[in-house]
Amino acid sequence: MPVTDEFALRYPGPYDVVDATSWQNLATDIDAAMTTIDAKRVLAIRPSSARILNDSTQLLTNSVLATLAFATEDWDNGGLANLGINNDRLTLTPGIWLVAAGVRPFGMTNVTHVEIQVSLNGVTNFQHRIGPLYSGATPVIQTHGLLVVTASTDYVTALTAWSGTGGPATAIGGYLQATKMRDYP
Amino acid sequence: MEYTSSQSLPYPEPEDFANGSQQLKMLAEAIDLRLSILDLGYDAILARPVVLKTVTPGVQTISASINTTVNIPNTTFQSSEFTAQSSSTSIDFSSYPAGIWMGGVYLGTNPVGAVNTGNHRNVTLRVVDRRIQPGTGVSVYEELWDESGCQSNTGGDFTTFSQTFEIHDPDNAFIQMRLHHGNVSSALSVTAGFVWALYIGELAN
Repeated sequence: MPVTDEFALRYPGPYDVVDATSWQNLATDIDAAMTTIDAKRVLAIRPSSARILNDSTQLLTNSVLATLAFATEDWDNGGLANLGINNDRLTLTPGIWLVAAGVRPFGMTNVTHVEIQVSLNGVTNFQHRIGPLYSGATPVIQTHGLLVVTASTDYVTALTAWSGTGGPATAIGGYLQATKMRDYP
Repeated sequence: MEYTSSQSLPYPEPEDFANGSQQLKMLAEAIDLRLSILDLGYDAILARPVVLKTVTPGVQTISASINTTVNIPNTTFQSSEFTAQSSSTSIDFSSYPAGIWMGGVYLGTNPVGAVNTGNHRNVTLRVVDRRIQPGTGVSVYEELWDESGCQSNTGGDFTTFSQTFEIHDPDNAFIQMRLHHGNVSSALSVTAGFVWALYIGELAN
């Protein structure tokens, strides 16, 4: 029985009898093709994505780099967060990801600098932003960028530090988020 | 055979049933074509073009007060269906689609921190899209920039920055990372860094 080029939809040949089976075959094949396309549609318009929030009262000691702890899932499409087990990370799957993080330390007297880092597997920084001199005491710092993830065990964490006088600072408005942009490779 | 519906799917009229196999073939092929268009559209989203190029740590030093292009000779990741990147200083869009892109930079340098008052490290995402302005014949250059660094003795050795931008003329478009710093006591050594570009979607027009 001949089939179409892309989705191999079956249709009767010139000398075949057109009967109920002919229509059933075509309907069945269309159904299978639509199932395949629908799976792609879901991936395309609802990619793996999560955002977790540091809405606790985490203290940040002067000149000490601290890993942000997260208590709330803002959203989690894809099971990237498991805050009951690891409250500092999002675990990603192989792909190209956009990752963002931010925090607002407050409670210091004067701020010399504030910084934020995003690390892969707790070791490698792939984002690191250091703010310029702040005259105020409530700087906000955030960053976002691209990450190539090659292993299903890879995870990202956010770290922050400040220096100056006063404190310890309290972290508010902290977040870490990741959205998968495409497959790898 | 008539055609109906917005998707032009054919269906047989009563007198056509004498040649039923032909009508069914035409219907199957028309559906196959429409499904293929849908499928390609989702494939384009799931495999959107992307390029990421990195520095070679320790190779490049950059003197003070000179706006210098940071070398990015290593292609870490690139969509396989496009021409390989050949420039050691740029991401080249010549085989990529025009459209809205997102791009960013990451740069680390030594020595850490400032050594003189007034030091700074400004990292630029330079976007060059040499399209010609209608009626003027003038090439348009677009530069997005970020000021990051320090004016004190703490930090300032890393920066991250990203932005969205348009590419109208891929054959004449590229992006670069540039550094300008004020560390007059010594040249800065590039310790880590990369530049990336990710296709977001088509231009409005």
